[in-house]
Amino acid sequence: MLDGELHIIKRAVEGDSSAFGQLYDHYQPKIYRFTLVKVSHREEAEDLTHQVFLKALQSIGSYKDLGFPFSSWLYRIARNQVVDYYRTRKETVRIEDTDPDEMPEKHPAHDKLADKIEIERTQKALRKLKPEYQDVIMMRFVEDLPIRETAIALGKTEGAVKLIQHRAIKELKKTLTENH
Amino acid sequence: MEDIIKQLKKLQHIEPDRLFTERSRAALFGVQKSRGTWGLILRNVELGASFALAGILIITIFGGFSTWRFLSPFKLSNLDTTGLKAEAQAVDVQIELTNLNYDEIINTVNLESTESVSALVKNKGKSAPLPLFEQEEGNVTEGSVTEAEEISDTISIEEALEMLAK
Repeated sequence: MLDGELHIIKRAVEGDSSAFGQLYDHYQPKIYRFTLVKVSHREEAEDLTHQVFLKALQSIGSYKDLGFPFSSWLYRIARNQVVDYYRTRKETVRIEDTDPDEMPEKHPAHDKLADKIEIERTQKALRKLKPEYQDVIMMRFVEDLPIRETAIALGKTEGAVKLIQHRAIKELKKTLTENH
Repeated sequence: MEDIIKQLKKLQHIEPDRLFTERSRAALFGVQKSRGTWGLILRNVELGASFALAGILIITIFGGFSTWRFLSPFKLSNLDTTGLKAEAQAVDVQIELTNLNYDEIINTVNLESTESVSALVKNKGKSAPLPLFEQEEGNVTEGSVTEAEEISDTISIEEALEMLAK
């Protein structure tokens, strides 16, 4: 969570673009990572990330603090964007059916080859999981979101998130072992 | 389990491209800025300009020419109403006079042609009717019409023209 986030959100809701800029800087990499795992290409992940923040900017005026974290609101928009992306795509390819070997990803931030290989292997394994499992793993272990926030973002109960998390880890372990 | 979580944490190193971030940010907040102060100024300028143009158009349509008369440094003689009136009256008179001349000429031509035609008829056919000049002046035209009809029965137009030419 961003320092003084509640105050920043309040300013952003009132139309302060610099406040929204602060939120953008903090959450944009997280949303980008989230969408990159869900879609197959870097360019598409970038487009989706931009769309998420454009939607957020357009509807920030109607944002109401109901005690839910701001990140869960953004993740919700991101999930809807990903769903729309797969719905409107002409050739309907299920993400589970795609071959991760055909999707080379560039990560300019990573110079270490070993790290890069490891990251790509994890990404490939993640893409083979159910979208629901991907969401929970990304939110819980990559973005370190608490169970409550994850549950709100996914529109599920905390118990359901715990169960999905358990199954997702088990499935990921299996996939990683198979690919190794 | 620990290894997997450790591996997943490495995904945190994935960062969006710096260039993309800059472009996306500029696109988002550029739009927002232009909607703010600049958008408001532009809208006001547009509104003012449209009102001014509409005003000029209305003035031009309804009072353009009269305003020009007062404002123009050049005097337009064509727009002098009294001069125009006098000119118009003079033209009318001339037309009447020309009409008079024309009518007179027509009458003389008619008379001459009937005379010559009737003379020709007299010479050519004995069964031809009496000359027109024996009738009253008021019936001249009427008589000439009947005469012409009769002539057309006996002589063709070509023949009559030929004779006239002679």
